[in-house]
Amino acid sequence: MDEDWTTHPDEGTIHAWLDDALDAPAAARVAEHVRSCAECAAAVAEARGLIAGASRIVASLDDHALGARPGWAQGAPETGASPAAAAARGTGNGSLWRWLHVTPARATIAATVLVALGITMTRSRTATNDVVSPVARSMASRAGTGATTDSAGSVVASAPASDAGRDPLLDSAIKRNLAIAQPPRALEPAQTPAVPVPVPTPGAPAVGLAGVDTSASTRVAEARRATVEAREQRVGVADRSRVRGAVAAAPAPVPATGAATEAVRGDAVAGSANAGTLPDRAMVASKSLSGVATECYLIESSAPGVRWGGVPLPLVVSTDSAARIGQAPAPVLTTAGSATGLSTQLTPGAGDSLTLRLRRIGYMESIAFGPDIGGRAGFASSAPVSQLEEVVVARTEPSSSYAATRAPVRKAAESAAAGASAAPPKEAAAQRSAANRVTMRRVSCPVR
Amino acid sequence: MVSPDRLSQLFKAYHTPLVRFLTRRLGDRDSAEEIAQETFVRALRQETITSERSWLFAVASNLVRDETRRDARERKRLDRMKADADADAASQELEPTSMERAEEQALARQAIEMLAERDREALLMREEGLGYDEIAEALELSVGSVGTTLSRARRRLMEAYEALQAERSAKRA
Repeated sequence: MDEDWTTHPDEGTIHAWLDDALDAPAAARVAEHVRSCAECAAAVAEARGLIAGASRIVASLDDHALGARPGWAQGAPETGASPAAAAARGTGNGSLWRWLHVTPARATIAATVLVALGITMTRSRTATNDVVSPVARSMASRAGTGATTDSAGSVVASAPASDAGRDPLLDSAIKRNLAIAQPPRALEPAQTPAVPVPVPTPGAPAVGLAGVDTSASTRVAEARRATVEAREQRVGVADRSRVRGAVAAAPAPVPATGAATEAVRGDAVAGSANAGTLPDRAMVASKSLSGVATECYLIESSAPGVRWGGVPLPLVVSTDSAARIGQAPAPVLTTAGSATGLSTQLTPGAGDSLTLRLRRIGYMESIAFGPDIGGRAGFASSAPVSQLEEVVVARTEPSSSYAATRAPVRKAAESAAAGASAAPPKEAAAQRSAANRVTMRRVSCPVR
Repeated sequence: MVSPDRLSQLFKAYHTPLVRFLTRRLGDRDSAEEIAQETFVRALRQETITSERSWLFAVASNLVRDETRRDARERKRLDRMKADADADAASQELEPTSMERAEEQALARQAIEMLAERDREALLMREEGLGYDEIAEALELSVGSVGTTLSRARRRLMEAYEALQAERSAKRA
């Protein structure tokens, strides 16, 4: 290098000074000269440009796989210029992307892979939570820990405190997604009525204030009645078959005595015997009584001389669908099918109990039966109308041990004292105290 | 003779910059790798190495010099580079950035090749971080002449590059 600093430094010295290759005294002299010499300052500026340009051209030779950083930028282990010197030379390659060998295409691919991976992981975690949530809810309810309900009404299975494997960030993200998918439901008043108010027209069915057809209850009751009839028709066929079989093959579950019973039983057996060749007599009889399905019940008592409404038992109550639900009286027949002039009112009660009330002038006679277990057992009572009897059927024992407990309620009777036909006091007391065990079972209707 | 442990340290410290230097010098990564390997083999045979980096770069430069004397091989390499550049230009029509970069690299290669041997080696060594004393030792120059050599190399490189750019622009026009 030229040590004569009295003149301008040559180009090589300027490059050596910019490359930090001069010793300290020489570098100080050059610096001082450059500060006071515009020509040399311009030369220094030009040298800086040459150094930077040459470094850029040399760097453009580099292969991507090898990298573009020059050795001095990699921090030479033993010698080499410092980064500060490199910065002074202006040859630093400051591109981080170039240093990382990242091209726009590579960056796009990496971003796509990351996004796809994130979506996959989120969906898998969400699906796992969806599957686990019911189990977690049940377990949490048992353990008293986990499942909670968020503000959106969504059930979110919260992890137990000991579960350190859960990611709270992921859980919160899932919760936010659920809140978005299941927004909170707000109750707001309806802007329009749910049922439009019809314009009243002459001749139209009665319509209430709220726009509801008031005749709907009637129509519903009719439809319900028709449904009950249809069901009882179906049940009736099965019951008839069952009763015929029971009568023909085995003793009745309730003790039955008397010739009338035998007649009815023989009638049923005959009908059953001819079932294969002749029309079912019972069915014919049922259809002959009325246009609807008719069912007949035999009421009899094991005690001799028991009468009901003045007619000795056994009797047959022929019921149609209306009578069976208490909306029509049922005629009382003899076992031969003859009319007795009596009619009874069937009143279904609680627990499948049944009360038959026979109104006769001056008397109120009733029979209270327990549930139908292939037949009904009960008590028949008779009393003047001056006394109202209320019979309560209570279950005390199975089968025939259903007992009816009387609870007479005495009331003032206007006609009892004045009735000339009323029974004498002793007879009335005897009748009032008479409560005979009776049974009722379904039989084929007698042919009149 | 350099011990294997010391050679391992040298390899770890200087292999990458040496390959880069040789690649810039030759324009061929495979040849650069081969020469770098040969350089470290010679280092293993060396009894003592006082200035390791300058010695390695000097040996590598000598090997490159020997390599470039084989004209047939050089032409073949240049032909292959030209074919590769053409193929890249044809296949990367949708990637103008890569194509521009390839063109720029070809211009830089031509500009480097237009430098004198010593200027080119001094410039490439300096770009690899060698100091003036190391360059002087590697190229058997005086330290005072390294600055002059480098300034000349840089100026001629820039002039050649700009001339090539102007020529390319004239062709396109």
